[in-house]
This record gives sequence, structure tokens and C-alpha cells, in this order.
Amino acid sequence: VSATTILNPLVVARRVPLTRQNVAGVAVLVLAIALAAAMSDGTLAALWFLGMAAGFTLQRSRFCFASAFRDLFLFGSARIMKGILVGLGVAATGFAAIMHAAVPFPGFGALPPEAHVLPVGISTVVGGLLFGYGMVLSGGCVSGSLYRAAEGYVGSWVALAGTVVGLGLLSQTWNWWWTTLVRFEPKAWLPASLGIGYAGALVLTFGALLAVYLLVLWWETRSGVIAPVVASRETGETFAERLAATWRAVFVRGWPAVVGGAVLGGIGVVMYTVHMPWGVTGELQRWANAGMSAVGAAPPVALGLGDIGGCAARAEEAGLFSHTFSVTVGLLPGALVGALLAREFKLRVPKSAVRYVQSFGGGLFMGYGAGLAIGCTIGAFFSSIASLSLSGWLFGLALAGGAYLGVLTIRRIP
Amino acid sequence: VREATARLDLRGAECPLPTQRTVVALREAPGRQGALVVVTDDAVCAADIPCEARRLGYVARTEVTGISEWTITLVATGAGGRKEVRP
Repeated sequence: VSATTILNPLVVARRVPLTRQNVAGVAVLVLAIALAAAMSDGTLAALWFLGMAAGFTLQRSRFCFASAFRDLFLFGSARIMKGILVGLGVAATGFAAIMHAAVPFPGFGALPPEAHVLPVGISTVVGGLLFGYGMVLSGGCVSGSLYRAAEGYVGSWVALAGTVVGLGLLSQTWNWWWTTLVRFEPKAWLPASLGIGYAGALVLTFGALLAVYLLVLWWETRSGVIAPVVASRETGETFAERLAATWRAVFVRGWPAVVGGAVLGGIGVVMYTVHMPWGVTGELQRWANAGMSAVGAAPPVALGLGDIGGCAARAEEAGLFSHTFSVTVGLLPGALVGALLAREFKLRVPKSAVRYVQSFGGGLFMGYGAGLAIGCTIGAFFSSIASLSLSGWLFGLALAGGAYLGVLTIRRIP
Repeated sequence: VREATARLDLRGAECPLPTQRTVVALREAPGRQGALVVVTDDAVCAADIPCEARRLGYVARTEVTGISEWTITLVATGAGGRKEVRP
């Protein structure tokens, strides 16, 4: 085989035939890059690309935080949960390095800027229970609904609409929660609160991750879960064949959950390096507040939220292109590109009216819970544990409780 | 007596519903002689259904029958399930 033949792109093209979905995927990618170029702020453009990368990763690895918790109780499976644990390990290590650069001596009382160190208390538990229940009812958490919406799941569009309404309801009632509960709840940042520094907090976090891994492994074994059959890895003899195999591994076949988790952890670290940890609730809260303002029902000024941190606290950002816009809306083109290149985009319309009610109702619970806990499975769980905050662990425990209740409910829905 | 092949068209349904429905159908007909054919357009369920079916003593054959569409044929092995599941 001559070198010309090996490098001829047509040879690769024949092995990976282009379809209309592939062409549309490239077009979406070009448009998304053009939109980034139109952003005046380079940081926002960088965050836009990171949001796209996160959406692409979620779609390629079918990484759904809701199913991670739900499938433990529904099928006894911990496939996605293991991916989350790997991602948390990656993110916590990177976050610790970033936070150490900002606050070298954690015992002096200062919290690292932008870290998702959130209040710990009843609001965390109530928010987590509501969110966990809602995500199981609706079929996906906020990030899961976003990537599935881009894949063409109409039920996820309805779930996101319910989430926005739920966040709006929370905005209207936030000040009651603040004055009654949240303002009395402390922040617990492991390096400072326990006086163990970054190394101690990392050892503690990795120890807890290992303990959860052993627990879910035992749970899977006890449940008799059978792992999916993994297709044998494609290989090739020629350069073109190997290139085509690589293309299919990245863009066509789904990624293992642990790979998805590790990549998401890395993306989270880079996001924090650029500006602040990943979170996707703040943008939806902006939409809720803007919608209510447009109809003359603007929520009252949120007390205390500016001092808390987390993505939901950034709902006051002005202008279309904001931090939250980039890392949230950026998920959509990223996931859409992933779906189109894999030829997986398809409009999926639920046939039963019950599904629409279920998706919207679940979204309502999710939105209210995310607003109360100052974040969702990304901001208040993933980024919070990575920030070495106790709140992430408590929120995760409450998510599991809510998911259990959600599983009991969906088992009874016809 | 050989039972007729049953078909579950679960296109449009989002994860985990197709897997749940399939497991319920398999549990409701223990010792099923005919095949159960499931059609789904959810990639996660297309991977999960064969695993859950194996737990109940079925073998699965999955075919790609359209854009993001999988047809899974489930046939009882006669060996029984490894573990009861409650979807």
C-alpha cells in the first residue's frame, strides 16, 4: 500500500461513511465556534468551549447523574456511580492544587475564592431529597436533561421547563428559607474546619471515595448485576483502518462511564482554573427570574445569596453571554455535535400523557431543590465535594435518599 | 406448545422506562417459550436490557434497525434467572 493511499482521506471516508447527521454535526460545531468568536470576553469563550466539551463528554459516555443514584435502587447497578467516583478523585486533586495556590494556609479563616463550599444543614438535606426525588421522577438531573434535550428527547425539554418553573418558585420563597434556616447554617471546609490542611482533606476525601466504591461494589454483587458485554476493541492494519477505528472509538461508540467521569473531572478542574467550578443551575435560575420579571412578577432581591457562592448564587449576572450561559448553554451544542457525529440524534416523543406530567413534575421538584441547596448534582454535589466541602457529601447522601423515594414512585407509575 | 413471539415497541420512551417495561414483561411470563422482541431508541436501555434479561435467564440478540434504534430479541435459556430483580 503506497503512502498516498494510506493518507488518502477518501479511504478513511469509505470506512467511516459520512451521513447527513455527520454533516449537520460539523455545521453545528462551526456555528458554535462562530458564536464563541462573537463573544467579546475571552474567558466566556473559553468557558463556552469547556461547556461544549462537557456536553460532548456527557453524551458520549451517556453520563447521567440521576441514573447513578437511581440504578442503585432500581437495578442494583453502580456503573455510572463508579464513573462519578473516578471523576471526583480527579476533580478533588485538581481543585486542591488550585485552592492551595489561592489560599496556602487554610487555617487562617479565608475560603478559596469561587470554591463551592456551601452551607451545611437542613436546607442541604431538604434540597437534596427534593432534587433526588425529582431527578428520578423526570428521568434525568439538570445536566442529564440538557444533554438528552440536545439528543432529541422531548421529555427532557419538558423536564427542563419544569426545572425553570421550580427555580422560579424557589426565587419567590428564598428569603423565607434564608431568614428561617440557611443564614444559621455553617460552611464546613474540610482543610480548615477539621484543621487537617489540604493533604489531610484529600486523604479523607479519597478514603471516603474508596469506602463508597467498596459499598457500591458490594451492593452490585449482592444484587447479582451482570455487566454489559463490551465489544472487542477495533484494530486495523493500515493507517487508514487504524484512524477509522480511532474515529469510531471517540465519535461513534459510547465511552465507558469511568472514562466519562475522569474526563468530566478534568474539565471541571480546567473550568475552575479559568474562572470557577462547574455548575448548571444558575443559568436556569436567571431564565426563571427574567421570565417572572417580564410578566411583572419579579422575585424579591435574594437575601444572603451573594455571600454564599455556588452557581445558583450567580443568577444575578447581567447580559446574555455570562459565565453561567457559557457553561450551561454550551452543553447543548457539545452534546448535539456528539449525537450527530454518532448518528444518534432522533426526536423521541413520549406517547403517553403521563410521561409529560412526570417530566414536568419531576422538574419542579428538581428546580426547587436545586435552588434551595444552591446547586444541583453538578454544583452542589460534584463541584462541592471536589472543593473539599462537607456540603457535597451531605447533599449526595440526601440525593440517594430522594432517589430511593423516587424509585418507589416510578415503580408504581403505569 | 410454542408461544407466539410478543413485541414491545418502546420507541420514544426515555431511560429507564424501556428496561423497566421489559423486565416486567419477562417477569410476568416466567418460562416463556416464544421470544420477546423489544424495540427501543434509547441507547442506555439498549445496553441495559440484555443485562437485565440475562439475570432473568434469557439470552439477547441486538440488531441496529434504524438511526438510534435497536431491536432486541430475548429468548429463554431454560436455565432460569441468576437473581430476581424488582424493577
